[in-house]
This record gives sequence, C-alpha cells and structure tokens, in this order.
Amino acid sequence: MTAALRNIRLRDVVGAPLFLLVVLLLIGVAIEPAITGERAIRNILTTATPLILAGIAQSLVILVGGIDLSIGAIISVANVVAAALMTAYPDMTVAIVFGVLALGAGIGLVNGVLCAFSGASPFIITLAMGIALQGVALQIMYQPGGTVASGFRQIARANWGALPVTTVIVVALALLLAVAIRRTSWGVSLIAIGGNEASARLSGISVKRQTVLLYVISGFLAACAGLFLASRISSGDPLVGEPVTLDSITVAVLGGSSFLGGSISVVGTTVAAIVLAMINTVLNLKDVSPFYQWMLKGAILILALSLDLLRRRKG
Amino acid sequence: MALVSPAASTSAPMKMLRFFITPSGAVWIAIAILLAVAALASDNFVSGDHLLNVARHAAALCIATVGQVFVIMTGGLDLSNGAVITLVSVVASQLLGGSDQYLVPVVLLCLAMGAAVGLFNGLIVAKLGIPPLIGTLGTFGILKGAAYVLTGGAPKGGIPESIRYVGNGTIAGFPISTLCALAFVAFGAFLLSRTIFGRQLVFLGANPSAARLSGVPVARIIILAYVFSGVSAAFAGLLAVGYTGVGSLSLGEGYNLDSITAAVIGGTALTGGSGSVVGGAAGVFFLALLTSFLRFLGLSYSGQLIVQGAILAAAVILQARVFRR
Repeated sequence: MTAALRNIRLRDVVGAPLFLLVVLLLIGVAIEPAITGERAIRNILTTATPLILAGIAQSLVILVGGIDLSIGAIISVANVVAAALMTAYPDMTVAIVFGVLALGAGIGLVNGVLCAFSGASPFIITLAMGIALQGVALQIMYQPGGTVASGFRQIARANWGALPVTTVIVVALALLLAVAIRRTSWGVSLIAIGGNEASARLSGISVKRQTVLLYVISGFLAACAGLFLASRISSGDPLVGEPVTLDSITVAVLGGSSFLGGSISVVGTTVAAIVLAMINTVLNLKDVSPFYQWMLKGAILILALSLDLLRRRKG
Repeated sequence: MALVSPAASTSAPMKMLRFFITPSGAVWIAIAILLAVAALASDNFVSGDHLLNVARHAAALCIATVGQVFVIMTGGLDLSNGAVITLVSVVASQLLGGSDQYLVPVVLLCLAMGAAVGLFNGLIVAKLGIPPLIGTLGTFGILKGAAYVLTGGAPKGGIPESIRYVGNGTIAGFPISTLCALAFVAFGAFLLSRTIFGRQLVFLGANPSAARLSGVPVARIIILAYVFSGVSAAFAGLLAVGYTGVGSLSLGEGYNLDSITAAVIGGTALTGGSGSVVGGAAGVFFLALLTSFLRFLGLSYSGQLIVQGAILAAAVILQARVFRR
C-alpha cells in the first residue's frame, strides 16, 4: 500500500483531469460563497444538464476517434420541432417527446452510416450535417416562439431540495454508462476500437456497427438536451444549441477524453459540465462581463491539456 | 510503383484531362457545372460584372484559406483564424479612428498580432503536443473574449479611406481585394511547391516520422505554418474590414469552418500531406458562387443552409469514393 502510494508522482495527481476541476470548484466557492446556496446550486445544475448530455454524447464519439460537430444543430432541431408540434397539438405531448427522441436517433443514424461507410472524415460529414440541420431549424421556426404544455414545463422545474430531478436522473444514467464502459464487454470493445481500430477489427469487433451505434446514441442524447431546453425556456429557439457544439468538445476534453481516441471519462465529463456552469454562475454573480467567460474557457482548455500532457510525459 | 508513371508519356491534352480527375482538379468541374446550371437558369447570372462581384466577396476568405491549407497540410487545423479577423478589424478601427495618420504602424501591428497568435498556436501544437482542434479552439475563445473586452462590446472608431479603397475599390474594373487575393494565392502556391519550407511541410504532413528521421525540423515547420495562417488571417481581416468600413465583433464569424470547408472541397486532405493552395482558392470561389446562386434563386437563408450542407456532404463523400487509394 505504502509502496503503491510512493509510486504516485505529484504530476500524476496534478495532471489528472478531475484535479483541475476540483481546484476550479474550490476557487469558485472561495470567490463566491453564495454559490453553495440552495437556489444557486439548483441554477447551476439546471444550466449544466444539457451540457452534461451533449458532453457525454461528444465523448462517446471521440472515444472511437470520431467527432460530432452537428450536436448543437440536432439540439436546435429537436427543440424547435418539439415546440412547434406542442403548440399545434397541445394534447399529444408524450407522443411528441418520443417522436423527437426518435428523430434525434435517426439523425445520428445518418451521421453514423456516413461516417462509418463513406470514407469521408467525420469532421466534415458532421460539419455538413450541422449546417443543413441549422437550416432545417431556421426553416421550422425563424425566430424564437411557440409554447409547451404546462406538465412538460415541469421537467426542468421539478426539484428534490436543492437538486433538480432531471439532473439527478441524468447523472444517475451517466454513472450507469460509466460502469457499462468499464465493466461490460461492450464498453471494453469500444475502448479497443478507440485504442487501435485495426486490431479491434481483427479481434472480431464489428467496428462499423459500433461506430454507427455511438452516433445514434449521440443524436439521441442531443435530442434529450433539446427537449430539456424546450421545457426550461418553455418555447422553441432555433439557435439554442449553437454554442453547445464547441462547449461539448470543451467539456469532453476537460473531462479526460483524448483526440487520439481510446480514452473516455463519463464522470469527468459530467463534472466538467457542472464546473463550466458554475464558472458562468460565479462570473454572473460577481458581475463580471460575460465577455471574459470566452477568454476564461479558452485559457482553462489550454491549461487542462498542458497539465494532462505533463502527466503523460514519460520518465 | 512504376518508375515512369503512365501520365508522363501521354500527350498534353491527356495531362490536362488527368488534372481534372484529381482531388484538387475536381473542384473546377464543380464550378463549371454550377456556372452551366446558372447560365441555364438566367441570362444575367453568368456575367463578368456579377462574377467579379462574387470574387470580391470571396477575397478575404480566400486569403484566410491559403493559410488554412498550410496548416491542414501539416495534419493540423486552425479554428482561431476567424477570431483573428474579428480582433484585427476592431483593433484597426479603434487605433486608426478613421484617419491615415498611423496607417503603417497599425497595419504592421495587425499583421504582427496575427503572427503572434500563429506563434502561440504553433507552440502549443508542436511543442506541447496539444491536439490542434482543441488548442486553436482555446485560442479562438481567448481572442473572441479579448475582442469583446477591448471594445467593451461596442467597436468604436473607423477605417480610413486608404484601407477602404483596398477593400472596396477597383483598378481597370477589377476589384483590388480580388487582385490581392490572387497575388496571395500565387505567393502561397509558390511557397508550398517551390521552396524548401513548402516541400518539407508537405513531407512532414504525409509522414511525420519519416520526415523527422530525415532531419526535417518538424516542430519549426509546423510552427511556421501556424504563423503563416495567423498572418493570412490578419491580412484577410484588414481586407474584410476595408470592405465593410467599420470594425465588427461578428466580422470573423464562420471564417474558421468556411476556410476548412473550402480547403477540403479544393482537395486538401484533413489527414495532412496532400492538398493544393490553388484548389483551396477554387473551393472558396465555388462556395461564394453557390451562395450567390442560391440567393439569386430566391432561396431563404434557411434554405441556403440546407442546400449548402447537402452539397458539402455530397462533395466530400464523392471525393472519398472516387479518390480512395
């Protein structure tokens, strides 16, 4: 035990993705103690929820060496389709929710098939998909509008004490996914694909089918985020998902995903999304101009990767 | 591989034909098809005046794309070039305040800013080993924030007549900005195909470890590629703000993904080591022509996005299908 402890180097600890996140969390609390209040926590977690969903979606795709630049546009499409249909058919909320989830998965299926079988790079395929879907969202609703049923509104508003119910469910599912990736043969096969696609294929893993599946899951999770946002803002907004694409990559990388493929941390990504939401809240409470948030996010991203590389350096 | 490639023994017309079935040649076929369709749809679209206008609109993106091609050739990406364009536009606008008094120092400062951003990108990519997508995304965030902070959210000042003339004026009917873009494309193509720096860049993009083992200063070349992209973006920013006449916090938006799209349509592979500056410029012209034509057809903005996305996807899938080795 002590020998094992002695082998842990300082830079292993400092470089671990969770270390930076915990430090940021502590700094946030130190600067603005008000964020430990019940309302602030609720607010942070509600803001973080769509980003947790999108971040996990992104980290799954990054795991096998892909990327999904259409996540934000899928969120926007899901959001406006839900709002437009709920405005037109107020009594069919449940059917609409399932329809939108199926739509997200369907878009993911197209992404996945094109990425796995066309031979073109996922970066450009999903970029093109994102452009087209942004057009679809704007075609359906050119400006924010529509309304949602009052029961549906409660999805983003129901709380257990300081904890929003939806966030708790999302985090619980994230933990389940984390266990599935670490402990099931399915999860191990995904990590194998990310680590070395050729050897994964040779050991009998059907790489293409798994890739398609991950894009389907990514589309599905993005649709969940779009529905959550529809509930939260009680209407549709064709640009609501736009910033989420890059934020989802930021969160996945802060959480411990690597663009070399083969590494993922669902828990880290979840924490990263919450920390990012916390930073925004602290800056807002401190009355810091939102412009600084861009700079801070960029600086944190580069810092996190530098620390991570420090850890991986040999010797 | 045969020592004498079959292409070498064929006649000149056959060589020309072969050019059009390469990744960087196919974009010219796409442009020709688009022009033919446009000519059938209307008598006015394919006119010298209109095409020059399209070329004028495309000039800034074209210059930024030349830099982007260099970076992609190393196997990297530059997501920060749009933020450089925005930053240059507001800095030039605020410092110049519409007067020519400090024109030369401010222009040099803007280009130096682009070079410094490129140096930073290059260092974090080549020295620290941060993936280019993430590293330049971080820089993008920092620069975007910096542009907002510098202006307090509302750009002030103005662009003097001299820069506006370069962005907006014409010489013998040709837009000056287009001439600048063409000159820059020629310069970029020369740099890439006729200098040691360019050849080493192509080499290391195609096979980094072979390049390192043959003594190519890999890190230095990669850093220089990012510096070149940063300077290109600063130049593009000066042209773009010369056209609009006023610094804007949204001026550079979309330039990063558009320049990557244009480079890829022009036959540059995201895996690095294969591509063409002239092809990238043709990709820019194709995109500008397409946007203009869709608008001409009366398509709404949302409809344009849908068609653009579909054509981009079709183009890269076709490329991957036809040119797969």
